[in-house]
Amino acid sequence: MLALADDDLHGYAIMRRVEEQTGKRIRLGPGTLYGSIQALLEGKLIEEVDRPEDTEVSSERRRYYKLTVTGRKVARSEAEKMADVLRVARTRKILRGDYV
Amino acid sequence: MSEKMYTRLVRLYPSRFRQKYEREVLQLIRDRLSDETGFFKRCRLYCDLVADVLVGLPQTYRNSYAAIEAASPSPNAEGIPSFSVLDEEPLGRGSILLGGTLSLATVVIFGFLLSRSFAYLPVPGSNGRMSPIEAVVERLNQATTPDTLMGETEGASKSTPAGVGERQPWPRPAAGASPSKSNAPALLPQRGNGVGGQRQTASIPTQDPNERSLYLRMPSIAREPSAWRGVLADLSGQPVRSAEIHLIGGHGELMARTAEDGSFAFSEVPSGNYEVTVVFGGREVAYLKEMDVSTIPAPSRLTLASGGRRPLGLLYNTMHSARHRAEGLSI
Repeated sequence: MLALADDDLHGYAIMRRVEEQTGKRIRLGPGTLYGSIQALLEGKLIEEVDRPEDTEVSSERRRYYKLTVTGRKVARSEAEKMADVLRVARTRKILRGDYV
Repeated sequence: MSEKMYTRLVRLYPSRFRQKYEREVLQLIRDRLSDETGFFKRCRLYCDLVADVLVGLPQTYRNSYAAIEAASPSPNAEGIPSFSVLDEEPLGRGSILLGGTLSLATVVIFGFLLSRSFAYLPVPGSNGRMSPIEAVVERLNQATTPDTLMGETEGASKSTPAGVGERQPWPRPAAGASPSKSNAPALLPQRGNGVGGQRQTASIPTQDPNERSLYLRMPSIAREPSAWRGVLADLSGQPVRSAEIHLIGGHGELMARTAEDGSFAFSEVPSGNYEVTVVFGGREVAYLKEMDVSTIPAPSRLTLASGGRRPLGLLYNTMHSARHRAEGLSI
């Protein structure tokens, strides 16, 4: 969902965005990616949108996805939970390096 | 792994998933194939795709079935059971053919293995007691025999003393023990340590106190050839010596002569049905029709009644019902 926070993306772009956001640690395969997209669509956390105006003609067949309002709230809620955990971890001084 | 190969892998996914995302999945593969060139990147791509199938396939099925379950109306709203269709796509002919062939092959292989002798060998580590098949047969016998036989022998055992038919172990008496006028229970299974592995002992009550009981030690499973031994006695319990016991069947005729103590023995009896004939004093005095060699009781005690040659009926029936108990060669 964080990959769709800024832009409406198609599947391959989502995969690349996730790879970029995780420092190339996570590369979603097609089955995993579209399985997740299917689950998020059914949970109404993302939705399909029309192709943006400025995209290439070759992207005509691709489906683009956008984070819904509900999806954004859920993403924010989950991020806040993680931030709370991170805060506690900082106070306990169990983090090192960039996280401190 | 080419795009064509991955197309086949995609067929493993649920039809609902494929209908909606197959084209995009293949498009993504094409994008990655065009972007990730070079040996190292291509190897990494193939590894990713294999891992993705292993991880993503179960997840996709979970999502698909969960969505179907959530979308279906309340199935038991009125207490009416209903079924949910998990896959909209009917089974293909190839799948049906493959499934049928595999099922048939499994049945054939299972039947072939059962026909081999090693299927009946004891399993290593099972203390050499019995093979798995024998164990199953043993459990089935123990679970079904007492009730069935108790019901059948109930009417015919009216003249038996009190205690007949009680569910209690009936110890096998030693040779030459007292007749069955003692508290002989109805046919009850009892496990013993017979020759050739685990066997089951069954006893049949008698109505005539002058008759002896035949204690059957039935092999749990047929073995071939089998051995049969026993003792022939008259109504007073005295052993009958120098009598001939003939087994007449499809394999020919076997004969054993009783010894001084009335004992007789057939060392090897091929599997099959036999007619048992007792010849004493030069004449046939009793016979038993169609005895299945696989259920030959061993050791057996046969009591020879007076009155000459009498048909005995099927031993199988005599083993299971006192109503059909033998007259000429009582048990």
